[in-house]
Amino acid sequence: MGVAKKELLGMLNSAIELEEWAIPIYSRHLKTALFWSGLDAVEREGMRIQLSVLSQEAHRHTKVLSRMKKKIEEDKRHVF
Amino acid sequence: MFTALIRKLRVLSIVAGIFICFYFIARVVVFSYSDYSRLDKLFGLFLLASEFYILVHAFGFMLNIFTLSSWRGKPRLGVSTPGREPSVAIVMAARHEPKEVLEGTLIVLHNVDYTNKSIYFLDDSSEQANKDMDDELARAHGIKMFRREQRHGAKAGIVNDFLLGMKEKYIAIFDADQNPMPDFLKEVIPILEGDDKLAFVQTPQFYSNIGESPVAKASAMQQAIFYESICEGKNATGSIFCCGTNVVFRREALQEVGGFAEDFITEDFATSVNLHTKGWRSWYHNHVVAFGTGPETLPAYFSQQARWAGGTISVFRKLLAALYDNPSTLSPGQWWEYMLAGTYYFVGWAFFFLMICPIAFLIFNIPSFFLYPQIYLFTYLPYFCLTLLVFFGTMRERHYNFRQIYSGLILGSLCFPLLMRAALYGLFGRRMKFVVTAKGRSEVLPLADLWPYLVMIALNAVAIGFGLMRIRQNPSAISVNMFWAGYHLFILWNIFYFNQLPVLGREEKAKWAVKPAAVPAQDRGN
Repeated sequence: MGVAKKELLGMLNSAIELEEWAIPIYSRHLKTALFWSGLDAVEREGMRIQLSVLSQEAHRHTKVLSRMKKKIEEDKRHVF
Repeated sequence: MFTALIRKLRVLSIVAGIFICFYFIARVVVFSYSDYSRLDKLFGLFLLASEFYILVHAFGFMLNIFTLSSWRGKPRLGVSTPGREPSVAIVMAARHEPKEVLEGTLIVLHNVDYTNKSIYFLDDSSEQANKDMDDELARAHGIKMFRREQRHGAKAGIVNDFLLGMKEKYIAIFDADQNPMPDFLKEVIPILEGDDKLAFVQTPQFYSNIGESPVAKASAMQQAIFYESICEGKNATGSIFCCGTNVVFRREALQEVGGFAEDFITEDFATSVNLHTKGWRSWYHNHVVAFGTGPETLPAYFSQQARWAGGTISVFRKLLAALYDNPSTLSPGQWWEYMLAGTYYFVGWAFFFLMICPIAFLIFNIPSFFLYPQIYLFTYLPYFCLTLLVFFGTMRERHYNFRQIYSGLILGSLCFPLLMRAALYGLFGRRMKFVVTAKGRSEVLPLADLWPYLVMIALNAVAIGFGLMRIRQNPSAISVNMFWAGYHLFILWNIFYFNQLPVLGREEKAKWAVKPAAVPAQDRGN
C-alpha cells in the first residue's frame, strides 16, 4: 500500500509541527503544574529532568523529520 | 491519611457553620438592644452589613466544603463506537491578539486527539493588518476561518453568528490564550454523551505563567481557590456555571435558549442561568485538561476583575427579578449558589466598611462594634479560627501553602476601589470600563491612579497614631482597633509589591521557560 507524496509531506509537516511547537508548549504548562503538584523537591526535579529530556528528544525528532521531508521533496517519485 | 483529613474537614465545616450562625445572632441581638447615638448606630450598621455579607459567604464556603467532602458523584459516561464519534466544532474566538499567542493555541487545537473534529477560528478583528495575519495563520495550520458582517455582542455575538450555520453536535470554546491538552475531548465528550439533558461540561482554567509576575502568581492562586473548592461544591447542587472558556456545549441546548446572552458582559454566567432555568443540567469536570495564561500586570488584572464584577452584578439583578417572578425555575440549592456567585463582587464594599470602622473609632471615637468581650471570645474567635482552619485545610489538602493562598487573598482585597465602582455600575445596569490614565506605560499603574490606596494608607497610619495617644482611655477596645488598622495597612501596602513590571526574577522565570526547539533552516528542509 503506497502513500501519495503530497499526503506524506502533509503528515510530516504535522509531525514536525507537533515536535517543534506543541511539545515545548505542553512541557511549559506541565512544568508549572509541577510547581503546584505538592510533590517533594526530589520528585519534582526528577520530573523536570524528564520533561527537559522530552524537549531535547523533540528537538532531535524535528531534525530527523525535517531531513526526511527534504529527502522526499527532492525525490522524483509521486507515490511512496 | 487523606480520608482522615476529609473526615476532619467535614466535621470542622459543620462546627464552623454553627459558630457562624451563633456569632451573627449575637451581633444582631446586641446591636438591636445597644444604646448608642444615631451616628454610632449608622457605622455599626455598615459594619454589621459587611460582616453579614462575609458570614453568608463563609457559610456558603463551609457548605461547599461539607458537600465536596461527603459527595462523590460521578457522571454517566456515554460510549461512542470508534469511527462514529459525535461531531465537535472546536472554536477559538479572538480579536486583535498577538501572533505568538494565536499560533500556539492553533497548534494545540490542531493536535487535539479526536477523529470527528473541525477547528474554526472566529476572527473578530477589525484592523486589516490583524485580519491578514489571522488569515495567514489559519491557512498555515489548516484551520477554517469564520468572520461576521456586523459586530454585535463581542465574543457572545460572534459565537452566536457561528451557531446559526453550525452543523456539529457539540461546540468546544476556547479563548485565544487557552491551550487544551490532546485528551481534552476524549475526557469531556463521553460525559456529554452520557446525559442528553447535559447542556455543557466546564473544565478548570489553570494559569501556567506564574513565573511572570507576582500578579500572575496570585491570580493563579485565586483561580485555584475557585476551581478546586467552590466549583466542586457548586457541581454537587447542579449549579456550576460556564466560565467562558475550556467548556463544551451541546448545540441543541444553546439553540434552545437563543444562544449566548449578548446583553451581559459575563455572557457565560447569564447563559448558564438561562440554561438552568430551562431545565438543562451542567457538569464540572475537575481535571485540568487545558492550560492558559492569566493577567501579569495590575492594569490587566483590574481590567479583568472590572469586567467580571460588572457583568456578574448585572446578572444578579436579573436573578433577583427571576426569583421574584418565578421561584420554581431553579432548585433551592441552585438559587443559593447563584445568589452567592451573583453577590460575590460586593466584597469591595464589605472590605471598605471593615477598613473604615476602626479608623472612625480611633480618630473620631465613633464605636461601631457592639459586643460584650465575653460573647466576643465565645462566638467570634471560634468562628474566625474554624473558618480559617477549614479554608486553609482545604487548600493544604490540595498542596498549596499558606503564603501562596494568602497572596491570592491579598490581591483580591486590593481590588476594593474597583469592585466598589463596578458594583454600582452593575447595579444601575451600566457598563464600566477600567482605563489606565498614563499613556504608553500601561504595564504598571501610575501613582495618580493609586490614590484610593494612598488615602487609605494615610488614614490607617493616622488612626494608629491616634490610637497610641489614646490607648490608656480604653486599652482593650483601642488595641483591637489598632490591630485591625495595622492589618489593613499591611494589605494596602502590598499594592506597591504587585504594581511592578512582569518579571518576577530572571532566575525563576528562566526555570519555567521552555524555548521552542530551535532548528536550523537547512534541517527543516525549507
